[in-house]
Amino acid sequence: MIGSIGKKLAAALLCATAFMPHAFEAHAAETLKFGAVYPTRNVIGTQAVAGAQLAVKMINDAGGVLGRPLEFVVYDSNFSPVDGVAGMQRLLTEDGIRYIAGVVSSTVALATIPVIESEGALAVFAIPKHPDVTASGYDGIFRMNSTTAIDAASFNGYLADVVAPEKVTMLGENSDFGLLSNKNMKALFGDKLVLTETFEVHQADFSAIASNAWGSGADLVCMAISNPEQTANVLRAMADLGYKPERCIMPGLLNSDLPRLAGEAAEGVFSEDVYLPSIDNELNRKFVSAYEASEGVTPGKIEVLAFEAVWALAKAIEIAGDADNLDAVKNALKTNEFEVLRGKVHFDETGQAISGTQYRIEVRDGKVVERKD
Amino acid sequence: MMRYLPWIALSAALASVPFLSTYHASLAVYAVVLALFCTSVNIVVGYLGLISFGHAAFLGLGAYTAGLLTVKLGVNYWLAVVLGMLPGAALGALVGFASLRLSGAYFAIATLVVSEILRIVAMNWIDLTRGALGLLVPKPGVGPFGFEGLRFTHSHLIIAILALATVLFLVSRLVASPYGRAWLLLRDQPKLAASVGISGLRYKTLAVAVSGAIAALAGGMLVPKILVLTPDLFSSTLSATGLLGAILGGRATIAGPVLGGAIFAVAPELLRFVEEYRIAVFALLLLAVVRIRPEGLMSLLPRRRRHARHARTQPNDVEIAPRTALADIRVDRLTKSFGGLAAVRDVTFPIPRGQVLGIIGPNGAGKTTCLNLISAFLTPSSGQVTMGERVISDSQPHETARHGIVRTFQHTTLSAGKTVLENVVAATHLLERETLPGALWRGAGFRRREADRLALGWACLDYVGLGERADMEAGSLAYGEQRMLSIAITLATKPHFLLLDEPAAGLNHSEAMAFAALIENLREKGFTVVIVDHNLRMMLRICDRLVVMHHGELLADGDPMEVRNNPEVISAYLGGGPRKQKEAADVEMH
Amino acid sequence: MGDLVLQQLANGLSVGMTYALIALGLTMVFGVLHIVNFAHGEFYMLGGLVTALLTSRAGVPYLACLPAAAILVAAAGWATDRLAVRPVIGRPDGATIVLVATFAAGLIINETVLATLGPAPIRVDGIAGVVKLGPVSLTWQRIFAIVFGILLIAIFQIILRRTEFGRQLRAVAQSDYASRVIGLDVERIKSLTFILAACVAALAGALIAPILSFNAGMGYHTAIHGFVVVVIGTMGSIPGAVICGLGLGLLESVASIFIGQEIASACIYALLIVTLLFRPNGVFSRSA
Repeated sequence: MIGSIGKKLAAALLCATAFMPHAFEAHAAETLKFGAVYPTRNVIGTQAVAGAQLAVKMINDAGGVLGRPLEFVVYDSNFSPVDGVAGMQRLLTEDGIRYIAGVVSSTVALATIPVIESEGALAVFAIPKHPDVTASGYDGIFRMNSTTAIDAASFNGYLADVVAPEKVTMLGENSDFGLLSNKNMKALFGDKLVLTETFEVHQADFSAIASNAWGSGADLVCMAISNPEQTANVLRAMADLGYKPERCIMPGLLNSDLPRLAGEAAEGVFSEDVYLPSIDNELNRKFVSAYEASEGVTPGKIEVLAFEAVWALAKAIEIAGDADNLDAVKNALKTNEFEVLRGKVHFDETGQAISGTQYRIEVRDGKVVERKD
Repeated sequence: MMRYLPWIALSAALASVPFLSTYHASLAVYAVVLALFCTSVNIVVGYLGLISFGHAAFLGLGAYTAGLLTVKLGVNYWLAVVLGMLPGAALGALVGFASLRLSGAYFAIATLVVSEILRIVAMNWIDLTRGALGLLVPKPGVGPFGFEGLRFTHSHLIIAILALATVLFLVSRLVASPYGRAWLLLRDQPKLAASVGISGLRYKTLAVAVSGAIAALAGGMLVPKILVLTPDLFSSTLSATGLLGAILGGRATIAGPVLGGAIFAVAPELLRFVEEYRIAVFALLLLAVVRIRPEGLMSLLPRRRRHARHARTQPNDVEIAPRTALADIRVDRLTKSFGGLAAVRDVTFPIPRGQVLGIIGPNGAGKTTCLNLISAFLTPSSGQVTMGERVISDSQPHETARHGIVRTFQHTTLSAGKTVLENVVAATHLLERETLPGALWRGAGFRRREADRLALGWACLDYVGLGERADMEAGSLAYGEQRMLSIAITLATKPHFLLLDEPAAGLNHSEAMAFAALIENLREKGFTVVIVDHNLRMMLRICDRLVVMHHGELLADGDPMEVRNNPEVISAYLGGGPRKQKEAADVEMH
Repeated sequence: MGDLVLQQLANGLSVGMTYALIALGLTMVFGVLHIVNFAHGEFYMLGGLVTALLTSRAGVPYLACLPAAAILVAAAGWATDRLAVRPVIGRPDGATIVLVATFAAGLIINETVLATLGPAPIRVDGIAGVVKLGPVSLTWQRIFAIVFGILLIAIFQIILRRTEFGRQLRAVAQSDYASRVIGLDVERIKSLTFILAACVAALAGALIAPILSFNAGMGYHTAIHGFVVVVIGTMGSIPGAVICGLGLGLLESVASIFIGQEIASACIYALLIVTLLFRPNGVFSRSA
C-alpha cells in the first residue's frame, strides 16, 4: 500500500517541480518598465489603463524617460487583494519591475505594500483613498488621489453650511471608502443622520435601500459608492419611487459615467473633486483632446489619476537622472513640484500628493459641470 | 525501492527550492497550498463519497483564525496556524455530524450555504475582520527555516512542503488503517458497514473533522503568501478549485489531489493565453474527466495492480469460533407497521443459543422485516427484541454487531471494487478497538493488531473456501462465491448470532449442498444461526427449529417435522401459489 | 413606517416572483429527474444576459427579448442535459457524479460569461414608467414581472394538468420504472423537463434584468436562494416552491428595513441549515 502511494506521490511531486520554468529571463536593457495592478475587467480599471497608456504614449512620443522607451505592464487585480498581491509579485519578482504606477482600491493597495516593501520597489498609487495607504512607514509609497480626510476638510463645510439639510441618509458600500465615509457623516451630522445603509460592492438590487431612504424622509442623501454602475442603480431606484432629495456623491467619484449610466435620474447630483476636464493648462488641454480623440469620451477622474501616477513618476526619474537609483527617485518625488493635469502637485513627507483647489461639481443636462452657488 | 520514493520526492522538492526564483517559489507555495486543500476535499469527496461545494469554509476559517490570533493576540504565526486547525476540525465535526442526516444534494447545498454564511460574517463583522478592507497580517518570522541567501518565500515554501509531506504521510497511514477501511465501506455499502459494527456517526464526524483541519492548515499556509485576510477566502471559486483539483487528480488516492492541486496552481502559468478563462477551462476538463475517466488523472499513470497483494500470514492458527454470548435473544410481541399496514404483527419467539433457526413463510409474510427488526435496521412500532436484560431493538444497527449479532442482506452486498480479502478485513472492525493516535503512530501494538485482523480475514476466507480467491475483485466472483463471501464477512466480526437473509437464493445444487454443510459446521462450532429462506427442502434439512410466518403473524414455531405436518402451515403454503404448492408437495414426498 | 412596509412588500413581490420561478424549475427537475441541478442559476443568468446584450448592443425592444431568451437558453439547457446530465445519470455512482457534472457545467457557463464580459453590470432598459398606488410606487417593469410570473405559473399548471406531456411528466415523476413499462419515452420526457425548467429560469432572468441590471454573478446568489426555497418548500413540490419563493422575497424585503440585506441573507441561510437538519424533507412534507 505505502509503496504504491509512494510511487504516485513521487510522480506527482516530480510533475509539480518539473513544471517550474527557469528563473529570470533577461529583458531588454533599453526599455523602462512601469507596472500596475488594476481591475482590468471593470469600467474603472479600463479607464485607469486607458489613462496610464495615454501617459506612456505621450512620454514616449516626447522621447521616453532618460532616452529609454517606457513600457506599461498591467495585471488584473479583480478588486481582490489576493489577485492583486499575486499580480504585484509577478510584476516585481518575475518581470523584474522596480516602479509601480497604479492601483485602484485601498484594500488591494494595503495588501500589496508588504510585497513592494520586501522587494524594495517604489510605488505611486493612483486611486486608493484610505489614509492608511500612506501610513505604512515604508518610504517608497506615494499616492496621487486625495484621501477621504482631505476631501472631508473641504466638502463637510459645504454640506453643513450651504446645503444645511434637516435629515440625512448615508448610503455607503461595504469597503474602506464606504465605511470611512459613513463615519465621517456620523461625526458631521450627529443625530441628523437618520439612516445609514451599508451594502456589498456586488449588490445589484437597490430597491429596498432606496425605499428605506425614502422612508427615512431625508432631504439629503449622500452616497459613498465607487462603482458608477451601482450609484446609477441607486439613483434610478430612488427616481422610480419619485423620491428626489438633494443627492451628493462623496468627493472624487462623480464623472461623466454617471449621467451616461443613470440618465435622467442623475440630474442635480453634486460632489467635489480635485480635477475638472475644463482646467486650463497646456498639459490638460493636450491630454483631454488626445483622450477624446482615442476613446471618444471626455476623460474622468480615474483616467486622470492613472495618467498622473505615470507622469509624475516618469518626471521624477528624469530629475533623479538614474532609473536604477531608487533612493534618488524617491528623493526627487519628495522634494520637487510636478506639473500634472490638475496643475501643480507636490508630495508631503508621507508621500501624499497635495494640490490646491477642490472644484464643486454637479450633473446638469447630462454633463458634469462646475456648480455655481 | 518503492518505499523510499516519497522520501526521494520530498528531498528532491526541498533541494530544488533554492534554485527557484522568488516568483516561482511563490507559485510553488500556491501549488502546495492547493495540494493540501485538495487533499482535504478528497477525504470528504473521495473517501466518504459526499460532494462538498463549500470547502473554502474550512480554509477561510483556518486562515482567519491564524491571522487573527497573530494580529490581535500576538501569537507566533506558525503556532497560530496549528491552533487554527482546531476551529477547522470543530466545524468539520459539525458538518460531519450533519452528513448523517443529509446525503447527496442536500449535503452539497448545506456546505455551499455554510461557506456563504461565513463569508457574510467575515464581510460584516467589521470590528474584528475589517470586512472587505481585509486584515493585514505581518510577514511572520521563519525561525530555523531562514537560511542564508534565501528569501522569505523560499523559507515559506520549505515550511509548506514539510507541512504537506506530514499531512500526506499521516493521511496515507490513516487510509491504510481501520479508519480508512471504515470510510470506504461507509461510502460503498453503508448498510453493510452498519451491520459489521461501523458507526457512521463516529467515522464520518471524524473524517470531516480531519478534512476540516487539513483545509484550515491550507488556509494558514496561504496567508503568508497573500498577507491579507479578506472574505474572498470563503469564496465559491476557491471551493470549486478544491473540488476540481481533487476529482481531476483522482478521488480516493493520496497522490491524485496533490497532482490536481499542483496542476491548478501551475497550469495557468503554462497556458497564459487562457488567463481569464482558466476556471472555465478547468471546469471543462472536470466535465470531461467525470464523463470519460471518473477515476481522475491518477488512473492514467502506469502502475502496479490496483489492489495491494497481501502475503498470507503463515502459519494461520486463527480458529473460527463464536464469541461468547451472554444470553439468548428473545423476540417479544414485535409489531412493525408501515403507514397503517402491519408487516409484522405481535410476533413472539425465542432464539436460543446454539440453535439453527429457520424463518419461513410465503412472500410478504414479514420474514425479512423480522430480520431487520432483530438486527435493529428497523425500529419496532411496538414490542421489543431482547438479549437477556438488554433491549436490542432500541440500539443503532452498528451497535448490534457489538453484541455479537451480525446479518447478511437479501441482495448481495459487497464492496465490488475491492478484493475479496479487503472485503473481509474491512469487517474485522470490531476485533480490537483502535484510536486515532494509535493509527497515526503505528506502534508495535497497532502492527500486531493489524496482523491479527489480516490473519482473521484469511481464516474466514479459508473457512468458506475462498482462500484461493483472496486477491480477486469481489465483483468478479461467481454469484455463489459472492454469497459465501457475505458469510465470511459476517464471520470476520467474530459474531455469535448470524442472521442470514435468503443466503441460498439462486444457488445451484452443489452450491446449496456446500452451503448446507457450512451451516452444519457453524452449528458444530457453537454459532447461533437464523436463516430466512424460501428453500423449504434445504431448511428442513439444516434447521433445528422452524418459525413459520404468514401475513405478518406467527403461524407455527417448532421442530421441523412438527411444523411440516401442521395443517395450517400446509394450507398457507398451498394457498401461496403454484410454486409454493409444488414446494409443499416436495415436502410431503420426503 | 406603514407606508415603508407597504412599499417594501411591493418591491419584495417582484423579487419573490423570480425566486418562485427559479424554484419552480429546480423542484420540477428534482421531481422528475431526481437530481439537484447546480447549473440552474446560470440559466437564469443567461436569460438576463440575452436580454442585456440584445437591448444594449443590438437595440432589440425589450419585449422581443423574452422569447429570444427562452429559446436561446432552452438550447443551452439542451446542451447541458446532453453533456452533463444524461450521460452520467444512469451510472452506478450517477447520483453523486451528476452533482459535480452540473456544477462543472454551471462553472463553465458562468466563468465564460465572466471572462468575456467582465464582472461589471450591464444596464437593461425594460418597460418604462412608474405607477402610483396610494403611497406605493411601482415601476411598470415590476408590475410586468409579477403579472408575467403569475401567467407563467398558470401556463405551467395547465401544461401539467391538461396536456398529454403533463400527464407523461407526472407519470415519470411518480415512477420511472412504471413509465418505462407502459412504454413512455422516459429519457425524452426527462430531457424536455430539464429544458422547460431552463426556459422558465431564463424568463425569470429576463424579467428581473431591467430591475436589477445584469451581472455575471446574478445566477449564483439567486440559485442559493432557490435552494433555500425548494428545501424549505419541500423538494419536488410545486405549490411549496411558489409559496416559499414569494414568501422569501417578501420577507427579505421587509427585513431590509431593520437589518442589512447581507445579514438577512445570512439569517435565511442559517434557517436553511436548521431546516435541513430537523426537517430534511421540507416544511411542507407530511413527516419529518
